[in-house]
Amino acid sequence: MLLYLNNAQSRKEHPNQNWARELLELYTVGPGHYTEQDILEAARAFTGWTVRLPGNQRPREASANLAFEYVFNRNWHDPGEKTFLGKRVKSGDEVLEILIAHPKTYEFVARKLLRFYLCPEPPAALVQQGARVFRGEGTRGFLRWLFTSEVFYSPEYRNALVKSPLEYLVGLWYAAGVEKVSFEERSGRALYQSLAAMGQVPFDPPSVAGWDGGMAWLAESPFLTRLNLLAGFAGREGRLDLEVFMDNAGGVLSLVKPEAQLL
Amino acid sequence: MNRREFIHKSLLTLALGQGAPSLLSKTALAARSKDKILVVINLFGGNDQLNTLVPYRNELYYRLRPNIAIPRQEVLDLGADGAHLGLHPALRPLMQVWNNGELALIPQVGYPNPNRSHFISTSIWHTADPSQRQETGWLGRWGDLQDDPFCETFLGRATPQAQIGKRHTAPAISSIDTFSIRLPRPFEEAFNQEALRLRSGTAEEVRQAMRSLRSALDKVGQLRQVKNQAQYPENAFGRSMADIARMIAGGLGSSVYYTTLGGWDTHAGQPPRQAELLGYVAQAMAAFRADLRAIGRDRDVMVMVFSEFGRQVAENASFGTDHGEGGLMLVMGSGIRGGLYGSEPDLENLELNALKYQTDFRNVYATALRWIAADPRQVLGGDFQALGLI
Repeated sequence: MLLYLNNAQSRKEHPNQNWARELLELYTVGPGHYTEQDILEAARAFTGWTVRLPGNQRPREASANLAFEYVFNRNWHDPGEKTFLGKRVKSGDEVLEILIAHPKTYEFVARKLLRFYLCPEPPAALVQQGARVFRGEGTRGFLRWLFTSEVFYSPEYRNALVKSPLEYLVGLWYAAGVEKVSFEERSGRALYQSLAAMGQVPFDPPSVAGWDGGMAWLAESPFLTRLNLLAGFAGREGRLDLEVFMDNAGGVLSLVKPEAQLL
Repeated sequence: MNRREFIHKSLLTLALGQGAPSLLSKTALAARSKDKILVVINLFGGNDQLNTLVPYRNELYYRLRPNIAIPRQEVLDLGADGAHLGLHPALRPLMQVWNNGELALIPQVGYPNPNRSHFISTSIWHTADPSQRQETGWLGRWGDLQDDPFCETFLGRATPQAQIGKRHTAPAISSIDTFSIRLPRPFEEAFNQEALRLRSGTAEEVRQAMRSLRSALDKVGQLRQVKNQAQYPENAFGRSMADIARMIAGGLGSSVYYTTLGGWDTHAGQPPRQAELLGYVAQAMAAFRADLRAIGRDRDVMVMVFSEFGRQVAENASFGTDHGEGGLMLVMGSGIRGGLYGSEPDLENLELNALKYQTDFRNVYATALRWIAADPRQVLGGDFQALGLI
């Protein structure tokens, strides 16, 4: 994140605001719970938070697969006092402590998780409950709570989500008994093009906010790509287990039904 | 006469039905209205106005941007009509358009209580509602009033909020040539049948998407034999603009075409990236203009370019800039009055390190809506006067 959102180059003379902004807007409290001034102050607090390669190797000379590690550059850091969300702080750690203690952080993330796993508009009461679970038990605890609760299996939440391109493709492979897929050869490259045409290249979202999801996946062009992929499954009639892929599954032609697009 | 007086005069003549004849008389407007087309180019990420429309005679510009300012000798001077500002050198293909009086530059376009988040500011521009209460797009709301599902088209994969109304969403076509169904007949027939069977809930939303797809396939298929009459740059954006020209030439019939170009969020390493992107835009727009001239439609088309905000005045530590407020809009067309619609930027009186906005974007939208003979009041929910460029 320090590299992706440019904080690795942020110094006290000209702090870079990108990381500080997205931290608040997308990953913790969410819009409406901070001001532009808070972003400027947080950016100051994070100056000097940067990265380096082990042993201080030069990026151009090191192996491409060598991972960067976090390092604090004191010379780049703005040591002055800052005011963040009404509190006096100096370091980026203190900014994070404030965000971790903020109740809106847990609501915001709980809502995101429910939107991803349950339905586009999760009920407020469930969001509150989820926030409490998330705060007390972390991500694992939250998922365990969600996947073992009755509400998760309620009919009103079945087929409420549109499959993402990855969920659609992986579901099809699962149904066809495919166990291994390679992105290396020519067929792999065609796969990559299809994912791009459907709007989701793995690990490469169109923006720092990720993908919109929902019915946006089914605009004319990406929907067409999903359908054209079915040509590859046309001859596999006998070996397709569509029950694991969709409701209302009949023969292979069921794949053009609306249910094929839903989770 | 200054700009304010000029606009005031134009609006008076509009109200009284007098003045520049064929432009403003009711029958003439009606005759032209069905032929008028708006092309919207959304630069996503926040294009930096100061390095695009460069105040190169202002010493402060160079002091605040010691590493990323455009060198004086590289700037393309716009002359007296451009308040002696200059264009970024990558916009050279548009200089001829400027000299012909067919390029309008509108600096510092924004709205009250500016928001510096990409997603919130983009949403504000798309819904035309700074108070963020509207969920429908401005063009979507216009589209709701039309009968033809192809009254507007999006070139790309995901229709933006701007083109989503209550009842209708603009079809999203990534490219004319790849837009066809490639399935064995039984699949295609089953698809056509499923698209006719009424469902409920989310399944019904999907079915509606299937119907839209079927209708789009039929219409776009007919455009495949249409050829471009100009040479476009070899990149995705160039191809989108080339396809828009083919859709116009082939009679798809949309009054609005919309496309997006991302990558403008130059927090770091701004100079080479912005130069490349501005080059894409200028080359594609110049080719588009040549294409429209070749098919005799250049007087009918208005191209409008915008970004969700401009960027801060001083550079940051990464050879880049951070989010600002009002940004630059460009409008191009043989039927518009080119020129600078605004003034030199005030680099001293900033708001949280950024230029303040001068023109509300809804006035530019009102201009675009009038171009396609729509009622700005109905779409924008308020009285926003058009600018004097039409």
